[in-house]
Amino acid sequence: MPPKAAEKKKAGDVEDFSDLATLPKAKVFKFTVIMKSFFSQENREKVTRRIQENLVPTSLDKIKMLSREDIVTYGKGKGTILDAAGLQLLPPEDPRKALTEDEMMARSAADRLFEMHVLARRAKKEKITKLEEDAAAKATEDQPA
Amino acid sequence: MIYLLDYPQTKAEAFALAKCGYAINGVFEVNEIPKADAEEVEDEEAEGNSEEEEDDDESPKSKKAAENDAEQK
Repeated sequence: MPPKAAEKKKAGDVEDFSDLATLPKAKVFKFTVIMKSFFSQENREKVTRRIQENLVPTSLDKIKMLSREDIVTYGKGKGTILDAAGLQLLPPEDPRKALTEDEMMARSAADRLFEMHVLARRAKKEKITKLEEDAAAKATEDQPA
Repeated sequence: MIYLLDYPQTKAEAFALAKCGYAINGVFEVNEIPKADAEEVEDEEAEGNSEEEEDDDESPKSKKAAENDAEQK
């Protein structure tokens, strides 16, 4: 019998952050580019396309992108962003009923940013562990028998 | 680094995000400048550079003057 494929994560699944205390600190710089004033839509699109083509792919995986669409998809999956029908199903005392659209979006973005932050910290921990293992292996090789 | 592509776009959105404990560290504004204005800016920059060059030119002169003084003494 062939082995079962690993179960894929569903959108509503709760992420495991039990290792949070063991992770090293990581500084994450969050930035955005605002296209303010342009003479034509064509120029605006040209510059936007140029930035998207060059900024992220040439960053050697150092820059992660987070778009509004990603935040909305993530929020809907986690239940932080609810549409009118979803809000009606909530009990009257639910605090999510009092939230505005901006606040729901901000909560979803904050959750996603936290998750990305944790991923960065995990990657940093893996890197440190690998470096330590390499150093230990080198030390044992250098030691005379 | 995280590049927030198209969020937050308004002050209200940025404020709501800040209330959740995540502020944006850097905001880069891109503007298109009219060509005439851009040329003026370039000219100003060029003038600034030439002034600096002039300053640099003065320094060898002053060195020469100092050398002449020393010879006279």
